[in-house]
Amino acid sequence: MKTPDETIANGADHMAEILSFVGTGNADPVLREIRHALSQLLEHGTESTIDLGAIPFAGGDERILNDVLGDGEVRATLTTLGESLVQETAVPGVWRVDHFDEKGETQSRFIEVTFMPEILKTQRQDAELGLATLSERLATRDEKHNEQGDR
Amino acid sequence: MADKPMLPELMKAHGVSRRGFLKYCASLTSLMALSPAMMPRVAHALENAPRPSVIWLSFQECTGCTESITRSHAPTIEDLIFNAVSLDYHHTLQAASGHQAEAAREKAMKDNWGKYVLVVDGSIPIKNEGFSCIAGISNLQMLKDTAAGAAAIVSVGTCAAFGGIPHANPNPTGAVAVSEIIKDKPIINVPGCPPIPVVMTGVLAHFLTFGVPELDELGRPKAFYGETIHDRCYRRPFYDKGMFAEGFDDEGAREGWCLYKLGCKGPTTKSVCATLKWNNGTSFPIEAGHPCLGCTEPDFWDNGGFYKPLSVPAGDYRKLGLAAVGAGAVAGAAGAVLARAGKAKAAAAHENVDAHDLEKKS
Repeated sequence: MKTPDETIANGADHMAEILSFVGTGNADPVLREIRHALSQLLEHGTESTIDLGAIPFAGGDERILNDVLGDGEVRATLTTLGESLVQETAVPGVWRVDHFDEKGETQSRFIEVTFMPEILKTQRQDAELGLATLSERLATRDEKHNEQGDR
Repeated sequence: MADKPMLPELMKAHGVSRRGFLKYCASLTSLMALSPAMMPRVAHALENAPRPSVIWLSFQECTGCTESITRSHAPTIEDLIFNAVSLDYHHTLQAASGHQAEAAREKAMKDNWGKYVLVVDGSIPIKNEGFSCIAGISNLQMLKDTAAGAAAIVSVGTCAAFGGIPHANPNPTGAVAVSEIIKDKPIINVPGCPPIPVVMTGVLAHFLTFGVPELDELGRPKAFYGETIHDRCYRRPFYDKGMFAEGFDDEGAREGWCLYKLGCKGPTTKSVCATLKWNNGTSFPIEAGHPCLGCTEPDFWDNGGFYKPLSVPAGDYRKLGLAAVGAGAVAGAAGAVLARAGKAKAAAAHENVDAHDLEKKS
């Protein structure tokens, strides 16, 4: 007799297996769109983003996309409002950006064709806050040193 | 409430980085079914758009919609956006009561005439206006007075959007939807019993950034009500394979098979429950093992029983249309012509049929 957890896991496995072979036929058009976007980036510097959530995309399509693009050299995890995974594919200039919420549920998924995804760059507002934080910490440190010097 | 800080200050106060904000805007843009190229405009508008005055009126309702929108376990950026509007009147949430509360509403209306957003939850009784009053003012009168100066109206929940449970047979109060009373203002219906919180914030964000979103024939934003739950249900492959739970404790139920035969209304119910889910994305009714009740559709309470399979016209689908019911229920299972024939026969005989029966007939 299976435990409830085993039953759920069993159902999830069945589901994953079924879904991994279901395709909509959209993977090839998306891959060709990526190729066009990459040529535009190189010729004109035009960056592009493809919203994978806006296209009917099944497990089989995802499998084709991953097989063709592969894994590249850069893989970064952001931790803000849940995690985000930013990874360059084996086709340099083509990035996968997957956003998750605090529970690990997928919020949105994008292909970015760019030399550097915007979300990886330090944002000016954050740097301004960083300057204020660093100044405050140094002031605290100076204060401590002065107190120790007085003794 | 009008002197609350703007979104950037709120973000800082809650320790949300600019990156976090960009992430939220990217997901929100995707959620609103906009092109990713619009993301900078969404971010710019959310940061710089003047905070609109919002007047929230609650009529014949259970407060579930307010609970849904305001409840969260931790401060989220949705909360921040919700706070970034100037909520000038909401009689459940505001501290003021009685004449002071009504004075706040009247002041917000006067100061923002023609510009404020009116949010309504609950239906309006018209059989006898005295059935539901606030501060001695009937719901009908308050709606008419407040709607007159609104830029747009958001009907939150199935009661405000379609009449909901108060409208169910025999409808003792003569409950009606906002759209049956107000005819000269843009009305955005956000049905659900209650609606998903992020759908509400998404609609507000869309209104802040680009105005009234694209609506379907029932006045619902297409971005959130464009597809049926069945279209995106993780149990859909079981439906396509003809694998159905026949009871709540049989093998099919334990294995997570399709709940269609247990009365699931997913095939005819448009909502994003299967993708956005509930309780911070934890689950949704079908994932918890219960059929969808169809709460984002008109007259869901009167549609003949929550546990009857859909193929039969179990109740009064007068606003939905029989063709839509049939087409949704048998998609992928039988040819459309045969399905229509099967459905028409079933409707005439009032017999229960399901996908298996329709397949046999093909």
